[in-house]
Amino acid sequence: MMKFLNVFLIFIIATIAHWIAIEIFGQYGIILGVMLAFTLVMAFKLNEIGGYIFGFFSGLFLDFFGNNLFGANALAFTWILFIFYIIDDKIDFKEFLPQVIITTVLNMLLLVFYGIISKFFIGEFICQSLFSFIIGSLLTGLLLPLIYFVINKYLSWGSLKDTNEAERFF
Amino acid sequence: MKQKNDSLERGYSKILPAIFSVIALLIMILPLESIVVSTRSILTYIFIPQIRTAHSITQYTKDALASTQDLLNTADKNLKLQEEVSRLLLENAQLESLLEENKRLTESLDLPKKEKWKGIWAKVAYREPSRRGTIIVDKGSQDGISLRSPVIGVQDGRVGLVGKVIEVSPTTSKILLSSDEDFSVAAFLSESRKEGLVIGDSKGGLFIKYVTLGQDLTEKEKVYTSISSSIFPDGILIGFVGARNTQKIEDSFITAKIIPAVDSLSVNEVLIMPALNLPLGEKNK
Repeated sequence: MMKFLNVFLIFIIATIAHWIAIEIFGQYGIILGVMLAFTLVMAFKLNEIGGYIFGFFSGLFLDFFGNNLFGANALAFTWILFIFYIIDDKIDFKEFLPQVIITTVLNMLLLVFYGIISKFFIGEFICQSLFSFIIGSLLTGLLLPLIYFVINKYLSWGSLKDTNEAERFF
Repeated sequence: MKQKNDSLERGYSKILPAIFSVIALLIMILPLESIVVSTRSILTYIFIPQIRTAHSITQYTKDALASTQDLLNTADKNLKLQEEVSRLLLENAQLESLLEENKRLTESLDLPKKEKWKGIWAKVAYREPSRRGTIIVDKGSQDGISLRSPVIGVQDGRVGLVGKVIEVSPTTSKILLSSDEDFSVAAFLSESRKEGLVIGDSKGGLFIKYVTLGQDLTEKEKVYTSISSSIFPDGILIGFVGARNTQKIEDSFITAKIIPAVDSLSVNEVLIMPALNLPLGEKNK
């Protein structure tokens, strides 16, 4: 129960961070994938079931406060996590460089997925400006190690994947 | 048991993306607009504290950055001011010795002593739109201001002539600015050591007339009030000689443009000095 509350607290912190990022970077036309960064860290920290649930609700949260297509972010986040778990075993997500590269690429993919889904359902490819697409993704990539560090150190969980199976959340 | 849990988890994790994808697709397909709108309203209420927190964090960070910047600027300014204070202290010490020397020489030559500039600071209360050459200040005869009092001002760290008092009421005074065409003051040129009459040109500028012929005036030469002035104490900076003037053969005197040391049209605060001497029979209005 306590750990579930911790995850929920992280989700709340993620939403605050999301709004802070919007307030700071929004004025420059850059949209950061803060929710995605938190989702990827949590997906790495939790097991697959926990990761998918966190990701789905993060997407749903963005959908609730978005104006276009309700459910599109939830779907895109699910697909991104699916890809993440495929490559997760092949890379060392604890290292800085893989974290930055994977997050940048996955954020770009998320935006492309969202565009494709919106094109399919409402006939319009909703996308950000090229500047935001590149810079926003890169900044998200650079933000992830920080989020990873904070969650890893300050909540002092360590990688749950390294611990006993019974320690897992879900 | 552990193996069973593992295999169960692996099984769930295989089908979970599909389940969530289906749920997301259903959310998109189903006509959930009214529910979404209602939920969004509820969520907005729930998330308002978070939005506010995010906003206040951002604001706090911005304020903190601005304060830090201010602090750094202040520290830098403080350092510069300290240097300035040291320099001024040195200059002051030097000036004190010069003052002593001046006093000694004045006494030995039996010259009249110079009084320190004293006066009352007054704020500009009104500018007459019809006549730009005058201003009304918020000090009057109740404050000890009398007619023909010299008025000086400070601008960009420079003390300079502003005008003279031409009307006095108990609480206000009218000042004729040096830029007015009716204004005139006996002036002394610092380098060429010549005297002349500085007159306003009604456009905010000044010019000096009746300077005896001879050597051309130097550009940016300082022009002070002359000791021969009956209204102004000598040594008040009026301005600087403007564009280099040339003497013509037919001219009897040199006339040159003066750049005012203090723009009398834009001063907001002035120092009104005690009148030197009133003509006989004239009283304060």
